[in-house]
Amino acid sequence: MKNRPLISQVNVVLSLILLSALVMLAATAHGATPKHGGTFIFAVEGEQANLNPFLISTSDVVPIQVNLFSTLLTQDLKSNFVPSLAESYSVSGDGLTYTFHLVKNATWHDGKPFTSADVVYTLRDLYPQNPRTGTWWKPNVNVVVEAPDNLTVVLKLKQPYAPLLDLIAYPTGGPSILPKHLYEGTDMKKNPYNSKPIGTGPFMFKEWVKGSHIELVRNPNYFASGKEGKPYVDRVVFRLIPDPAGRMLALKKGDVDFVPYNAVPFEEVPELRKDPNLVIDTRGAGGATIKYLFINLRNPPVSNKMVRQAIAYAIDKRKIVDLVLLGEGKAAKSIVNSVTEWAFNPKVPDYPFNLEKANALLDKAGYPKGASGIRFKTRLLCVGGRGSDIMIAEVMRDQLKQVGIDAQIMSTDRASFSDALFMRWDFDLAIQQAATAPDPMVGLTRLLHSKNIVKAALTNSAGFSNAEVDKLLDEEYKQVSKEKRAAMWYRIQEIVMDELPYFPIYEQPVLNVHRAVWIDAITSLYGHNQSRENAYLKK
Amino acid sequence: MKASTWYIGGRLLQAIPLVFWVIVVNFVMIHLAPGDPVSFLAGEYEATPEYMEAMRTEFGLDKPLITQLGVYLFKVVQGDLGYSMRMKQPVLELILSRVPATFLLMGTAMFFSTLFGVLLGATYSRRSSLAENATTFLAIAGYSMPAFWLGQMLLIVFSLHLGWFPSQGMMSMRVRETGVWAVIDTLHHLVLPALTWATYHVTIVFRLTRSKMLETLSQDFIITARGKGLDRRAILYRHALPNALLPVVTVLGVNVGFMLAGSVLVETVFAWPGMGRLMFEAISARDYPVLLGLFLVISVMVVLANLVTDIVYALIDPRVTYR
Repeated sequence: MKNRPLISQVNVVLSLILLSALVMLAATAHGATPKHGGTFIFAVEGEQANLNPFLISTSDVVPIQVNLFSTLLTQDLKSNFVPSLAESYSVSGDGLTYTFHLVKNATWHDGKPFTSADVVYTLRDLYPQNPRTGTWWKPNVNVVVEAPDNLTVVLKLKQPYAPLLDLIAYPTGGPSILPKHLYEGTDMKKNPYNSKPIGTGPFMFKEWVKGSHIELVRNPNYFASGKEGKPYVDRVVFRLIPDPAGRMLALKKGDVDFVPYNAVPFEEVPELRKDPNLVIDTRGAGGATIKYLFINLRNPPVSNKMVRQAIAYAIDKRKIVDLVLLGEGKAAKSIVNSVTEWAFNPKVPDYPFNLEKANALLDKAGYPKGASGIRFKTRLLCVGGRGSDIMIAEVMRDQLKQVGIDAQIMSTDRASFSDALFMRWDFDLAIQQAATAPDPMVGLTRLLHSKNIVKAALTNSAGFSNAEVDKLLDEEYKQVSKEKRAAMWYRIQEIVMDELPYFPIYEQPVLNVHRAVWIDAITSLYGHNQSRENAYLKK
Repeated sequence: MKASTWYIGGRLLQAIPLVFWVIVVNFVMIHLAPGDPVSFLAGEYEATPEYMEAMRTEFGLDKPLITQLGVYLFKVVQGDLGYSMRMKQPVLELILSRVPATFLLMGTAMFFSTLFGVLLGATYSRRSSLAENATTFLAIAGYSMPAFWLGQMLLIVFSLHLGWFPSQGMMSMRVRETGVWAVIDTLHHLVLPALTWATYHVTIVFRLTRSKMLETLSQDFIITARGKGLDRRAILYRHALPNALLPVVTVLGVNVGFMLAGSVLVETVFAWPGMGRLMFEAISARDYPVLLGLFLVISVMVVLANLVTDIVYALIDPRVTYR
């Protein structure tokens, strides 16, 4: 009898301890819940005509569009596909049928429910109108879109198309879902909602003051709000700051929260690193961009393969990284970015800096040194101004001079440069970047396939034509097995790195800068091009 | 009164062939520059040749230059400045939306720089080595400092380090003000860009006023005024200054043109949403209609500014008559 009260006392005490522990646990768990409120200010360099992702998808608008519109899937930092408008999906064994099961609770910003009809309309009627999809979606995917019910969408392909899911999730010009009830029966190009978008995304359009800013506000009915009630911030403002120095100043002063890496001048990075109020986030390199030396295979002497290889040996990529990027980047080894791990071939010839080999190759190619030590003159085209391309060109000119190549820099503004490089093919060497993303099929086929020797932006302006590469490119994306695809991409890289129509210089470093008060500003492979639904203010 | 109406009307008529000529020269020059809007619009991403060809047709760039010029002039006469290739918006609407910001900035800078330039010029109009040295120093410093450099220095000192002024734009973004506070917020943003612009202008007005004052002060009527025993201040401000101001008025008119050109730099450094920024963006994008529209609007403004100068001239100088 005496023990009983004791036991119950122990019980009570134990329960109390347990209870308080639980309360404390709950309290800490609550402490970990992201704080709501605040304004996230994102600096953009320029302004575009509208915000329709199928009409414009430049670096100025994608970071805005991703907050307004949702895609079926998205990707996390490790490139796994994660649900968005599709809560689950399945792919048939033959790679021909993709089934997406949609979320039940999504609504458009104007209150209308989101259904499979919107997805079908977007993929079938709107998306193919996007001129940029002309090179891959229409000819390669050739998809039939069906909706068996309100919450299911089925894509049927005529042949397997390996990069399909990567494209479905890709924010830059990928198929963001647009509202059928506002676009059906209208001319997409002239639809008024292009400049005051209605989407399903975490933020809603509020105002656009031309020349100044675009303001978005929190969507209280966001379908993926979860337990914590995402998104956390009240407003996201995209502020136009055209001057690089102005952007850095606004960031340091705290007038701006986030500057995307393409808008951060490299020479500022060492100082930004020292600032305790700022964070440099190198995650989100999904763009997988490489800076290349484009070589015009039509023009002698660079039409000679030995000359191209000599140029490759004469260029000290490490030194370019040190001088131009102040050591912030990585010399590129292959035409595929090493970020794209499955396709990147680490064993290709990568021409380590070697002046003797370069000189020997040039002698053998029949370009001996003249009286003044010069073998031949060539033109090196690049974009001038304050960017890094002109600096690369200057370092390269000095390096090429060491082996007797007189490279004359022709720097112009971007418009004249693109015109000469892609529309007139009026160059010998040119400095231009390109991305492996979202899949090398999309990113590199346009540079490598002989059918893309056309006068249009970002195409095969080197004039590279190789039957084996063409055949591999025609076949690789139809492979269901990723190993087989990888093997084919390995072979493509071997051939291209031997022929050298494009010489990779460095992998573009991703240095997004934001104020240290922000947590989870980057949670996806897309980095600056992801929505800001996970960002919240530190307590 | 009638004479003056005739005079103004005549001057406006004279301006028409001038503006017309400006359009033709600009049109040809812009189209001769390498690069075209289509390759800019296609931009950093891939595009098919068919797409680029379609864009070229849409903008009428596939036609001969002389036809394009004819079409453009025909439209301008009807008050249609065309359609922006980049912003997909009527050019006139686009330009007019940027005019208030530029006028606010330019007007403020011009008002204060003229006021202080004239006051300083009149006050320091004695022949002394100190004044002489100050003039030279100010002239060299203010006149030769590039606007983008001065703007950045002001930003680093007064915005970043002292924190007295916002760094960019025309309004605060973190907290959006309303009513009177919105006006105060904009004025707060206005200080540094206006100061940048005024620094250049104030030195011109100061130097000019001072040299004209020195010239005027040695003239007979001033000696007469002194002889009558007038107070020094009255001589300086009532007798000498109005006479010395005439060339200053001329310079003001001429400077409207310079200021509009300078707005490209100042507005870019401070992310000020005015016409200068629009011009900068239009040049990089080879947005021909916007560029031509801006040149047209600016030439009209310069013509009007010169006309206003002449009218003001007549108002303050009874010796000038309309002929």
